Amino acid sequence: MGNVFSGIFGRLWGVNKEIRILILGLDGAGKTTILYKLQMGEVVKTKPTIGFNVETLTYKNISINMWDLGGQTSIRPYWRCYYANTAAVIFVVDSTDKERIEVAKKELHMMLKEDELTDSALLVFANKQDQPGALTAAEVSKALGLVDLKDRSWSIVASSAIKGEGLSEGLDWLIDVIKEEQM
Amino acid sequence: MSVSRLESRLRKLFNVPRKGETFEFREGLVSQYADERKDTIQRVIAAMTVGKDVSSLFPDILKNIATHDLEQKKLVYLYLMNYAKTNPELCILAVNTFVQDTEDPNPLVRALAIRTMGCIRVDKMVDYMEIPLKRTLKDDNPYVRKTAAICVAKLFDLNSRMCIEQGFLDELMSLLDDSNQMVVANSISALIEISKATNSNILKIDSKILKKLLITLNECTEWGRIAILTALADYAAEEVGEVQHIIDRVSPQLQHENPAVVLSAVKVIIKQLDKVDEEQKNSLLKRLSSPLVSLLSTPPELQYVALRNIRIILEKYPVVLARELRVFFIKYNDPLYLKLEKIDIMVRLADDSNGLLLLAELREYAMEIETEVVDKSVMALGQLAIKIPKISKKAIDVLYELFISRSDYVIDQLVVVLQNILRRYSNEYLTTVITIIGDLELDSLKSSDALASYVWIVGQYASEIPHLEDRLTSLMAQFQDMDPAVQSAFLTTIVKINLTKPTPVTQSLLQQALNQATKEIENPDVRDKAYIYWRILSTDNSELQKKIILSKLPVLESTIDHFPPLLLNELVNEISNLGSVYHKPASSFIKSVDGELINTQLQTKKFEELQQMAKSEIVNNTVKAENLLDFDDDYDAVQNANGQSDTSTPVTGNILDELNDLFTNLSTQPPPPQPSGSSVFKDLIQEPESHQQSQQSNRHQETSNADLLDLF
Repeated sequence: MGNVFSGIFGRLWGVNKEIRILILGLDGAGKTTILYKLQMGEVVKTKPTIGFNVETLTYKNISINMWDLGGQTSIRPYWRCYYANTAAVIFVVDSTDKERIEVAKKELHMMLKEDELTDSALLVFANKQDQPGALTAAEVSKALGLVDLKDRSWSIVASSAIKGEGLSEGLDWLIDVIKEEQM
Repeated sequence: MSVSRLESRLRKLFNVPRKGETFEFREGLVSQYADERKDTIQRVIAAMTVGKDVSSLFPDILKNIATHDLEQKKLVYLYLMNYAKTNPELCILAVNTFVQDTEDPNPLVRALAIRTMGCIRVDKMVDYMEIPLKRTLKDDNPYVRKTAAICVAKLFDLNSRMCIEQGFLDELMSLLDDSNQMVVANSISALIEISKATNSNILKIDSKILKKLLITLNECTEWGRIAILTALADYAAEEVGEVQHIIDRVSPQLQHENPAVVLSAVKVIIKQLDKVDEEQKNSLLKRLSSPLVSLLSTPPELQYVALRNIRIILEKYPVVLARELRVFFIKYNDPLYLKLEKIDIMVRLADDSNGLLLLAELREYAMEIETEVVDKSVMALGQLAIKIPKISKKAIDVLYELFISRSDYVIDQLVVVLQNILRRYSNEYLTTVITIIGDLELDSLKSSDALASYVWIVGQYASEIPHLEDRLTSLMAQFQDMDPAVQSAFLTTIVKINLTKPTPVTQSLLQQALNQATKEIENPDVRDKAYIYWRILSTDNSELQKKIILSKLPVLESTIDHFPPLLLNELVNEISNLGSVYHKPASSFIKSVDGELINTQLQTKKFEELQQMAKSEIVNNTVKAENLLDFDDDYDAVQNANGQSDTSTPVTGNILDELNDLFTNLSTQPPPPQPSGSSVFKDLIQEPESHQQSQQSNRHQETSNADLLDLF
């Protein structure tokens, strides 16, 4: 009985509610590293993700379901399976990979066209800033054509998952946007 | 908020909400509340188990695979196993979670993950199985290792090539040395599975592994014991000491309460029997009888399996169970299939000492209600009478008594039995038989077997049969409607009678029969037989006619059917397997996976080795081919065989002699030219010698070898 009540009240006040955030991006951009850096605060050794990782983390009293989907070409078509009920998308770009930034742009815009994602906020991490020759956030933004995005709250943050730089700034912004949207 | 976004929101609002269970499920599976998701998964699984197709939810269920809730994980895994085949593409989305789960601190999760991976029979999955499988095979926890061992067999079924290349088979072999008995047993059964599937000898047991297995045997669960015993049965022990050791270790298993373990142990011992001396063999066989008898106190279905196996063992070693006849007596509540099987075995067990006992028992059975039992008992009485001359008189009396008391039940089988008895004892019991035949109404014979036997008896003992002409006339009236076997028997009979005791009536019947058989019967055998008789009868040499047509049949030694020796040996290997119940070798109803394994092994060998192998194979083949072509050798063999049969059956020998004449005539002709193919082989045989010749010829041979390899 107690369970039932706590369940109902929990739903009323949104206590147990989880917010879904997807981390997408090409393979090797650093999505899994970001996920575990955010969740555990440490850099883990990763292997290419065949499938997905999902972790729950509590950030500013909000429980977030963070989905890290594999970025390999063979898995990208299945991203769409995960779009439902998604509050925000974190798109990770390898700032040193100038050759494939066009591909990243294409994937990003294709994804944003999806109906189920029309309301989701977009945060782009220009990752791997610790590496020499990395493009700046502004350059990445230009290369991805972010300026053309209409009707969407978006932001780009320069980050280094290994050093942990930029991650919390980006997430702070994202949570604020989500709170605003949902309240 | 901009206009377009507002618009889309409004559109969503006014869209008629979709309904239906699937939609509800889907909503629940992507819910923002963990408990709601789990609840929905439970409902989906419930729908799945009652047979609803919920495969369309695959991607949504899959999303819930990554969870720390063991219960939910199990449910999702269950769903995946069920529907993986419907969504093979999507399965790779689960790979990451599987791989992570094989590193989970909880051994249950690790085992669950690797097991589920093995059960998802999707090709794409195979590539990702390598690393987790390797890891779990070396896991600290025996439960995980034993699960992984079985997984290797599953992987092998999907992709044998990869399994070999990655050395999984070697890992399995090394697991045989594991400290945990479960792991050893599962590795053994995985290896057996793989060897059986490929018909190859992957499981190589040496004396070290043998020792390990024998020690493990006593610690295992019953399944483990069965697996180990199966492996031991295929092991060819070399020295007597080893054989002794195996038998000593396996013997305690004969007392196990699980019949499958008992039967497997029996099999192991039987397979070793050829290697022990005669005295020990007999004592071992005696030791086997009580476990076999114990199998008969199980439920009927198990008893049936036991009986089918006992039948095989009995043919190989008739001494087993020699004193246990009473155990096989039919109980009133036995199902029919048991009764028939028991009668069959009892006849095999009968000998001088217990024949009378069995006779009395069979007499009771012949009074039963079930016609199948009655039939079988009458048949058994006949087999008994023929097998044991000492009690044949009494058996015939019983048969006669049965005929008097309940002729319509038994008559068909009885007539067949009478024919066999006449063929065994010729005139000894003729009066009884003739009395029965004399009282017989032709219409009471239903089966064509019985009718054919009846016709044979009438022809063979024509002079004794009362109202012979009437009987023949009424048979002739039905000639068109008879079964070909009966028609054939009738032709022989009418021809025989006309040679021994012709009357005007029989002569006209003969004419009718030959006419009809050659003109109106469509069966080629009957027609040809009629033509042959006609031709023989058209010759003037009546001595020759009698010699051919009235030749004596060999005395019937036994009417109990036996397996051909080759089949028997295969069936001994099948003891305790399904094949023993069907009495067919497993290969005849189970298809082995493929020859891919053999091919892979071949490919790994170097080309030179291949060449060498091909050469030796060709040489062997040519030797065989030459043997086949070598007619003289064969003639000797044929003549030897004929010589033997001559001594035992002097009358038929005459005809065989004539046949031999035909053959010898043939052999004086020059042997037929060898087929052109064999000359090619001949050229190739000389190749090994000419191996060191010039480069050019070598190259030529290589190409021809390659061609030949394609053929193989």
